[in-house]
Amino acid sequence: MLSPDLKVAVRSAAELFHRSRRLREHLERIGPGESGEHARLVETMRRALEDIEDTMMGNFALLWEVLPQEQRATMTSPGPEEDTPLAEVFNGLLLTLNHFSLRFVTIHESLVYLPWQSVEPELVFSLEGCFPEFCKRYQPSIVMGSLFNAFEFDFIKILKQKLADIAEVFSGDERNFVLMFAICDGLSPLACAILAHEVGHALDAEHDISRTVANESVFASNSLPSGTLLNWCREICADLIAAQMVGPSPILSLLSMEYCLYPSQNICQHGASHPSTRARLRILADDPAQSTATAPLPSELEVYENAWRLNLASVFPNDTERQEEEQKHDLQMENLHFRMARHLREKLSSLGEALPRACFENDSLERCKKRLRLGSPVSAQGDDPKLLVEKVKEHIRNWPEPSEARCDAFKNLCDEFRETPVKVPNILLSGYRRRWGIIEELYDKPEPLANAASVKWLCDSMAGLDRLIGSSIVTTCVHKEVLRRLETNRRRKKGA
Amino acid sequence: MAEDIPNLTPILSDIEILARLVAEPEDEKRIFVSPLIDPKTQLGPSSLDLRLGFDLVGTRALQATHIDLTGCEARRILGEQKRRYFERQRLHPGGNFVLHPGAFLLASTLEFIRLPGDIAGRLEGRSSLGRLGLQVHATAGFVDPGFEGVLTFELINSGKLPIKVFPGMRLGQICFFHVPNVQIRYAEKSVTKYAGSVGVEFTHIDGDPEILGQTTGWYSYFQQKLTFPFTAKCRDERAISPLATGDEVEVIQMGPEEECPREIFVSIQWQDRPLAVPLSQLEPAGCTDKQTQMAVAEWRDWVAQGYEL
Repeated sequence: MLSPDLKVAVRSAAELFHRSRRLREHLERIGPGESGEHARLVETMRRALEDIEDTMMGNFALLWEVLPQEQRATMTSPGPEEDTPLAEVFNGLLLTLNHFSLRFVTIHESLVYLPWQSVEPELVFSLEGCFPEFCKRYQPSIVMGSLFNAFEFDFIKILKQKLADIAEVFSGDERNFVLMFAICDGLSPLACAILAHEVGHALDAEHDISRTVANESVFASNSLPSGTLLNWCREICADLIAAQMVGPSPILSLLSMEYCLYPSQNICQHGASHPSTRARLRILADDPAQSTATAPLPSELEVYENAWRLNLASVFPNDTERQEEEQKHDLQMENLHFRMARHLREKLSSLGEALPRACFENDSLERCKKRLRLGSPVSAQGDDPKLLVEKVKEHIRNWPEPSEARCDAFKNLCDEFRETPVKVPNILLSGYRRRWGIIEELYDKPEPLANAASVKWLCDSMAGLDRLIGSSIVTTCVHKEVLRRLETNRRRKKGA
Repeated sequence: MAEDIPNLTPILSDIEILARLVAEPEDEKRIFVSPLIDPKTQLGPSSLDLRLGFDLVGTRALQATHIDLTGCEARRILGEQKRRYFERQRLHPGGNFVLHPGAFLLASTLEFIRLPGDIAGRLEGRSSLGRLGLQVHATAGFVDPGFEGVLTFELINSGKLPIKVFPGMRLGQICFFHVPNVQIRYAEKSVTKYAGSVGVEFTHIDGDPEILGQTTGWYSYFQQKLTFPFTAKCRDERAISPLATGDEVEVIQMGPEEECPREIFVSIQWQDRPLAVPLSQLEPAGCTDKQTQMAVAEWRDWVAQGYEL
């Protein structure tokens, strides 16, 4: 069992190891190029990642060596002035985490020099599964980028800003959404959940929600720089739309990226463009309309609160400054963000079926999670096996001898085994539940991330989960297509 | 549940298949097949129809004259050829593809399958499609007990006209055999090439120990199979190693590749420094993971039989 501070360090390193491996896989796919033109660049990036991974593992090995097992559940971060072997090792580990995070960000941005990969089909199907109407209406373009974040922009709006005469070509209400997504996340259908937030922005623009709310008089009297209020309102609105239509997966995807940035960047304050992730997480976790099926969001929030506090302590080492900053953050959260969220929720609920709410059943999600743990995809689900077992037993008892009636009974019995497609938001959420399970298993390991075997286990588990989720998303789409064909034929037959 | 029906025949009947399909996840006799889209149509008297998935692998013409399965450095060359020879395609759920006369394609089943330890499967074509000249497996239709993953169709159009097919179409069927007393299930084999796959896998023929008759082959094989660190005991003394029988050591990584021209070395922690010793003189301790144990045992067998690199 690890203390909250240790959990944050392990979690952050785990996310970095996992993404570092995805980056290295991406580099491997690029390879040296037809004439060896990428060889040096690819090799430099690969070695930079391998080097920091080795240092990170060495740091963890040292930490577990100096920190006895019985103290791991209670250990708190030592202060910068503390002069003990443990303090030295732990501060060294934090420093390596900081370097790992910086290297990750820099290498990611340097990918712009290398060829980009194309979008994987499960990413498209995943979006179509979550936002069928939106995709049909706008056919958004998905572009892989070198940035480690996802973002959305209205392409025609940008063209109009740069080329005045282009306005004549497009009518006023025409939109062309471009969703940009990080290259190394392109192969992770779980990471792609963050795109739902970007679609949330597009839907917000379509229904003009956040602008209306930000202009309400209740928010008029504030001392914020112009534009900040509207920006925050937009972000919270996009989060709420994504949560309403896809569930907690988009914010969980954001969180996994945030752990890669936390060691090297300031994440404890609200930015001019985005409220802090802590505020965004709390808004979603406190949502009264969310059912109990939002797990693992509450547990994630608990660990993240600590990451936020540690980040605050590193940015503001002075106690008084830190307390003032925390008060300021909380005050803005209470007075602005939570209020904004309430107003936005009211506005969203008035839109009704235009933004349908995803439904989650805890039992079904738990069955999916169990399947994922066993290494099976979760594209479809039938009735509870217990009920079906009884029905087969009953059939065997009732029909010992061949007869026409037995044939009919058997056909009817077979029908009850039919599986129905699992919806994409449910696949994603069950994936995040399993992912949380992997993280918890990592916390319980005797010496997490201290050697290549432990890191390999983590990265293999995460990659295996991604493969299962990707395959489940496409399979569920094929399943729906087959049902559509069967239904069409049935209707035709009936008509004939 | 499944034991309510006595296994009197080697091939499972419809009700026997159904009873196995519906068994609870914890039941070790369960046959797992998902998605089961339309069991009434898919379940035959002694088989279950399987559908075409979305993952395809085609082959493309190469400048190479042949696929080299022998000779020096076969594994490296084969690895490179595999990358260039096979081409993966993902079909849109509502899409289709045309299989031209004589064309060869690998395709996955839509269904993910997990067989229990006492059931083997055999993938077969469907009669109606066979009459059009569509073969769904060229040679490897047998599925071992304990296998899990999607199955691979080896599609060939032997007819004279192109055939258009689509994902979700019932393309083949699997029948199940009762095989009691299996000692080593597929997942427990020392080399499982296709376990747990969710799409078409390229050939892993280069993973065969016979083809791995070169240093690089075995070396890469152990890099994949051994999980470091692990504890091992010295079983045989060697003149080139300081270890004595019974010495317990911690194996930390593979030995340097350039030190392995004739046999495999691993690095151990020895008097505060790493030292490379022959893998064949070591036996992993009981707590080591099974895959590592089996890989080391395989190497010891290889050496005991007098083979060398």
